[in-house]
Amino acid sequence: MRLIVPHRLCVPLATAVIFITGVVRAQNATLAGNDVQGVKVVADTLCVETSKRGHLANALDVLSGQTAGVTVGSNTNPEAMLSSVRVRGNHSLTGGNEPLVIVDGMSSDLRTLATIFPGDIESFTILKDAAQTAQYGARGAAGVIEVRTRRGATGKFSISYAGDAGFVHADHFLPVLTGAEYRAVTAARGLHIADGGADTDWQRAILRNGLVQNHHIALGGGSEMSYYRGSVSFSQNNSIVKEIGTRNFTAKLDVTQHALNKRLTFDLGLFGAVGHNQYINNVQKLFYSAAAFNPTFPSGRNASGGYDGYADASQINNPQGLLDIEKHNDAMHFNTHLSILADLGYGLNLRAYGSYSYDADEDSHFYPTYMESTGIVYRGAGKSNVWLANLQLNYASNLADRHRLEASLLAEMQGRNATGFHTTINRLASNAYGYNNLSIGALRLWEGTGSNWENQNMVSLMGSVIYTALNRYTLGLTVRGDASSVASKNHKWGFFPSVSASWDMKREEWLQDAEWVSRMKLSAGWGLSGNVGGIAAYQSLMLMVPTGIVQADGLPEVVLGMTRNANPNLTWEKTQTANVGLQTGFWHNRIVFTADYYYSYIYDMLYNYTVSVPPFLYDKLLANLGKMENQGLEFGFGIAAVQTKDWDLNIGLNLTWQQNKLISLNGYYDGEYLTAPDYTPIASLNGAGLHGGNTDVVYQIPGYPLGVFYLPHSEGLIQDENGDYVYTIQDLNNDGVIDLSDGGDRRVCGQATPKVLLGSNISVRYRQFDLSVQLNGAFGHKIYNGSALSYMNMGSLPYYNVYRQAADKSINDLTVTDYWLENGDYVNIDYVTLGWTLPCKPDWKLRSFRLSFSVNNLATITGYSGLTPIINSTVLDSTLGVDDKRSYPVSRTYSFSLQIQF
Amino acid sequence: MKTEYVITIVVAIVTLTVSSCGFLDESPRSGQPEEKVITTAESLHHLAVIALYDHIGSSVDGQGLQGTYRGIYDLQTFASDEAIIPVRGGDWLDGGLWMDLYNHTWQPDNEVCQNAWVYLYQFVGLCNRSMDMLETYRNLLTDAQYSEYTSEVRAVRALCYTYLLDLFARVPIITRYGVAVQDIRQAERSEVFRFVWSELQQAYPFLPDERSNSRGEYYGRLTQPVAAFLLMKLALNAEIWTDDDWTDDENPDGTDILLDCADSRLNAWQAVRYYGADIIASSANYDLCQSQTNCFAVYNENAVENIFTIPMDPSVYRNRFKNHFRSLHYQHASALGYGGENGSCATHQTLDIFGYDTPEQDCRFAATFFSGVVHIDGEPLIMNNGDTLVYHPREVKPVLTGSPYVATAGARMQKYVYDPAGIFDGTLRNTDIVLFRFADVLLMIAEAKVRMGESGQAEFDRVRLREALALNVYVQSREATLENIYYERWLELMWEGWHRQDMIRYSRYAADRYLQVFPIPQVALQTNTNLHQNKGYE
Repeated sequence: MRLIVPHRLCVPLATAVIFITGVVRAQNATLAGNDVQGVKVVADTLCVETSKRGHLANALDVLSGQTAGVTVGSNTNPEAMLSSVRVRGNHSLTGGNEPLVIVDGMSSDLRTLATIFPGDIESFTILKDAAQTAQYGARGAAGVIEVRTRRGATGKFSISYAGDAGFVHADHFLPVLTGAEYRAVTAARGLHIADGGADTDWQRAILRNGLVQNHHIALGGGSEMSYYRGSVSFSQNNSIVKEIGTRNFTAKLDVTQHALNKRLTFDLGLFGAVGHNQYINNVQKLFYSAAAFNPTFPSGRNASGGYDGYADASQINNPQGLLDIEKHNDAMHFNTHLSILADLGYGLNLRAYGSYSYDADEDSHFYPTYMESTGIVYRGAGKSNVWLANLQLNYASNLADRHRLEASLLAEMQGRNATGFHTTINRLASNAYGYNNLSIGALRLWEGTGSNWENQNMVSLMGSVIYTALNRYTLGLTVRGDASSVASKNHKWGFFPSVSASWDMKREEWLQDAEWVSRMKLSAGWGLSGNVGGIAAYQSLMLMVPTGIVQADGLPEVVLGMTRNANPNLTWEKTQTANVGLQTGFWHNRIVFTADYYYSYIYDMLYNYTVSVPPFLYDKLLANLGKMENQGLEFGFGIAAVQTKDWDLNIGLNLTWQQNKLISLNGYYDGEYLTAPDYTPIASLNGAGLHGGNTDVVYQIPGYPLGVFYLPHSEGLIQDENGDYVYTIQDLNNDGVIDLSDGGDRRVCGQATPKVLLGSNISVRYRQFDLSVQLNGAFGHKIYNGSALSYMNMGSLPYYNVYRQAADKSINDLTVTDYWLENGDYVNIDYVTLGWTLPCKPDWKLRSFRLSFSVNNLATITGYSGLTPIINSTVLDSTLGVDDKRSYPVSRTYSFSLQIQF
Repeated sequence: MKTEYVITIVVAIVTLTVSSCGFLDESPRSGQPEEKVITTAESLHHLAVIALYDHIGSSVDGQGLQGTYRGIYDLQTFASDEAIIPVRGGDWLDGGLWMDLYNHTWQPDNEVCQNAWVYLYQFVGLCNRSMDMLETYRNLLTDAQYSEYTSEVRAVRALCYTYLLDLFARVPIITRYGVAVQDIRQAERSEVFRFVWSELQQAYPFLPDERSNSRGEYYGRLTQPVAAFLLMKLALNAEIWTDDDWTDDENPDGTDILLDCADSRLNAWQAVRYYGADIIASSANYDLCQSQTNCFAVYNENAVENIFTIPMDPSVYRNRFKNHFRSLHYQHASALGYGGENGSCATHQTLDIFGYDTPEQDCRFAATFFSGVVHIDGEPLIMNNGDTLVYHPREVKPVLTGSPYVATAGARMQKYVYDPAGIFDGTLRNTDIVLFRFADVLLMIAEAKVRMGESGQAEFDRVRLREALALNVYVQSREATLENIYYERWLELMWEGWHRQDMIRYSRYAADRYLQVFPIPQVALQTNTNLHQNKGYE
């Protein structure tokens, strides 16, 4: 198959990639994922060309906006980003929403993927529906991201350098009162303030221009029978926030060795990464403090070396002091894998594969005495080992002219073992030791020290058959059995079949002569998959663990107890997915268009039920009762509009429409009908005057999508007896009483997750110059502007600073209503890159040379009135859909990059 | 050759399947099943009996009898007219939660009611599980041990039911572990009362007559004097707690309520005196401390007056005490090396009762509240803004937003003595939280006597005059009338979580009588459709 799309361009499209997949397939028959290629018709593969992307914080950043159905959280908060990747939305209420990551056939996770240097990655393949993910069974229930790293190739020695350097700069802040304005506004209101005599812009006082840089050196070479590639990289991402940032060092080596006349192929890979991360201890508290801390207090340390606090504002603290709280993480990953592929003849090959990975994490936290009453140091370390072994027998043969049969059998085992321990000390004698000497603390609380051990194992068996008739009708069938140790005793095994079919219309006689149609393929699939990601080890067992200390026989004694209800019937969460897709290409694929529709029905869904106490001991029980559905329509469009010697213009666009609905959470558990509450809050507001009560904003309500806004309705502001303005609240149920509680005067008024997602890339080349622009957008969702609710409340003065407009509006109310619910639609210019490529002659030693300049996060077009609409609109946690005083000041990254290859 | 390979693969797969049987079993290490840890009588005693005491206090909000937020104590205190958490500008609106308690406008979804319900039934469930363990592993125990252990567990369970009876009235009585949801039905309030009474009666002889509030074998445990105190409370409130319809104006008469007390059958007031006499006669020698402050001193384990406490020691126990943290002004707490949230304070009614700022101001006022200029080490506390911190007790009102006293209105909680060694904002400290004490015993005896038409003056005076003697100040004596006993209880037991009960017993609670009982929480009704909402909340 000819690669029509210009090779320098990798159109960020579901479709463009089908062609690339073809290329990858040809090169790489050894990957687990490619043995059932026949069915993998709608897989999205992204070849990674990082030079156009500007500065990348990590490998997850590459995926952002690139393909339909994949969402990645913003990279401004690197810690949150590690768990923010979703494929086709949320699949579970309890966990197991993170896609499986497969790196060169080795099962991995998002955290590890984030440590791989983007330049070492050749392609990402996103597997979305059940037929595609069937080969990974349970582990792939939430989608699979297959990562293929760059490996050696037969040929001559080569060495390359790729790097970039730049800085990140914040230029958009919350409009809070300056010191002078604060004095004036409080004086006008007769408020007696604590005047520190200065005028400090706290939002800027905690920021800097953060240095960012990536450097990568790779070399490779070899002969016909063996070849290798090795690389080292260093990357540093300093945040705009002082003291905060990440560094990562990686080394990677891959060797391929053929033997016995290429009947045997060995692939050996080694990868190691060492990272040091300095995170913000409490993102919300830092940015809440930066906006609301008394602006008359002076910047900098006080005479005793600490920072002056302002006790009256108990929910916030000195922003610079907060940066003295250290939250450091040192992470080490080591992976190795070996694959042996034997060509047995007769169309048969046998592949044995083994991998081992080791992760070690150390967390070190330090709270100086001037920030936390007597000071706290926490140290914790965790280690995990994961091994996987599988054996796969593949058969492929042309049965007759234009008929082909492919089949494979797979047996696999995986084990994971994790251990950890931690300790905490209090009452520090000095702040000078940081977290480096645990003897500096006088008190070690009982609950501050602990350790854990856990083990999880899985076994899988799979068989698949793909039959292609007349070169154009393909039918695939996969049958898979998965067993997991975390499922309960009699429910360990799950049985997960899938079928798929495709019809290559281009090969039909009636289309063969239509030159303008270069590709036309229809495919459909159905599959059942399972998920145990929401079950922790031993959750089906009743276990006794230490729970506290009491006096027994005159001495303190640790007591044991259960800390949760055990469910002896826990089993697989199941998802049935059906999908149809169309892939088309016209005029030698200068125009490509794809469309996919999927519907998935999740049942036996795990949910942490609120159960009746009594008789249950605890009010939560994890059980398989829920039902949920997801459906979506994904379009990809690409056009190589201009292709001349001097000019290229390519436009790619992907558009996703997605819909989720929580159908029911009721059902029978152990013969008893369990009902979930009608309204379960997901996200609430925090901060002064917003603790509990009716401060919930985003809910999970059966019959609606996960994450809907369920709020009292305000029609505006009304003056109260003191002359201040308060939010009017409508009596929605017309009972004459305003009841702000759940089930009272509240209504569903929008969803937190976008209905439509957009990714678009435009690239232009003129001779050696090229320009590339990426646009990402999200539409149809809302955002609760909780920051405005807090910062517009004049009642917060003088302890908490407010917005400049607050004095004019004169609102004195913190009641949570839909007044601050806003449209979240936005289009973001993710990056713009201008590059220049030296035209290298074939006889030069220099094979390529490229210079480029990029701006990441150039601008956002939105009607949203808060700092940025790019907040968490995907991950089901307490921040979903709520902009609550935790957004980073908006920043851009400016970087230069250089790539040289010899 | 092809066949050979296929056979090899099939054999490999079969081997894998077979070997995977053990491979998929879970063998935990950092948690253990019950049967691995219960091996001796001692381990069974620790797991089934001693472990329950980890739940009297707590580090988790909504849990514990006292010390944390948003649990039983908050219902007893902030739903009475003793104390209030006013809305202070940007602070303490909290979605109307505290105003709902103060104004008696709580709804069935009230988070504090929900917490109290879950905590109490969780505790009941743990007791039932303990009974189940004692039964399962009975072979490890002698008969004497079995009776002793089960009695203690039943007494702890009765303690939980006493609170359920008080707060929610019509509640299910569950005495076995593993009951099905559909088998759970509510009992009438009088049935619950009779059940608790009978459980305590049966357990009583097997409990040790030992001090619970002192370090030693029974520290923090439910001993005979603790059970006697509970029985007194039950009998004292029997008119209310045996009333199946508390929304009408009719109450049973205490003299008609007959209760078994050991071998005799006594009316409610006699029963109060019977168990009061037991406590007085106890070998633990209870007495009033010289000063009330001694009960709440740092290291108060030796206070002769305390009967039942939540043990506190920052380096040993997890139990928290947040009541000061919640009350003190930010800068006041900060100057003490604590954290503060500037919330709870005394109501106007409380100030009136204490005769605040009048010549007759009760001598206990100064130790019960912080008011006026705040002094730290004898010096007035100067705040960031240059002002001296002054608490203005009379400026308190439900919504202080806009008031110049928004942050300083209200007399703040003192009572407990400052512990400089406290950590975590002073919530972990060395002062045990006082749940039951002897002054209350005397006041209950006085009340029972007066209700029987006798004089309770002697007991009343002992409590009323104690602080005046300690401080060597003049105090006007009062006659031990029911009304004066009511006020005396308020003065003496302020901040101790008893006032709501007293208000109800003296018919001084809400005009709408249904408010005497909290609603069955909405979540409980939703998750068990057999439950019926309490009257007035349907």
